[in-house]
Amino acid sequence: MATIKRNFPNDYFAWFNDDNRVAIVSKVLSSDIDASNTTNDVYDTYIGSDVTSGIRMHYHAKYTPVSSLTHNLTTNSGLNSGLHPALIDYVKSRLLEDAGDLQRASYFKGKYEKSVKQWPHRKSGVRNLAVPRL
Amino acid sequence: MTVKDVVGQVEHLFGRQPEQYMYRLINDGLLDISGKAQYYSEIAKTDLVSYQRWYDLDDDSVLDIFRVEILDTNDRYTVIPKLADPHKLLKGDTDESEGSKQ
Repeated sequence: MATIKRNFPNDYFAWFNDDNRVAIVSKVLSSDIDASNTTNDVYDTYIGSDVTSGIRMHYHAKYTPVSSLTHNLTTNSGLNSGLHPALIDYVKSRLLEDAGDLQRASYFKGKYEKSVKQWPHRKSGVRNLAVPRL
Repeated sequence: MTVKDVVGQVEHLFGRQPEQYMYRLINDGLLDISGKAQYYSEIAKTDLVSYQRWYDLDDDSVLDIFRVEILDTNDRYTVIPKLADPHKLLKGDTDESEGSKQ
């Protein structure tokens, strides 16, 4: 009986990617090997039934560009409200740069870089409690 | 905060600026932040297709993929591993053969 690879996908499937594509491959089992469709390799292209929404990818994304004054940076673009001041500093630095005021531009650029580098301000993890010794 | 708020704050210091110019600067800032602080993640689904190895990514939004899941036979998504060195593992793959779609 043929093995259904989707019963335990993590045992059979794997992925890798190049710059603009992601590849999904599955382990080649002895039952898969025939002359016409596959090779005797560890992994090969998936052969089986098509599955609607069968692949789910999690990725770091670019923020959605703005195109109107009413565009909300948090809800429409995905930019966390903690990074809004950094964005304002970036815009100020660019405006000053374009105006030729490089000294003030580098001040705002520095502020922007520092804000982005320090984000997120609160990191999850172990927190110390100051418990008095009684 | 809306774009109008950002423009308002900037105009307070620098005076009135062309709207399209402001959009361009804000979008440049968003792109710069997304590259430096990769905290914004999204999820995308696509169909698993037989004989198809490569699936195109949306260049306008994807920076890098960090997790891929396959829908199992119980309709639950299961994480699959990433191949560390696919070029060594995939000698003689079927991409160029007649039996596979690119």
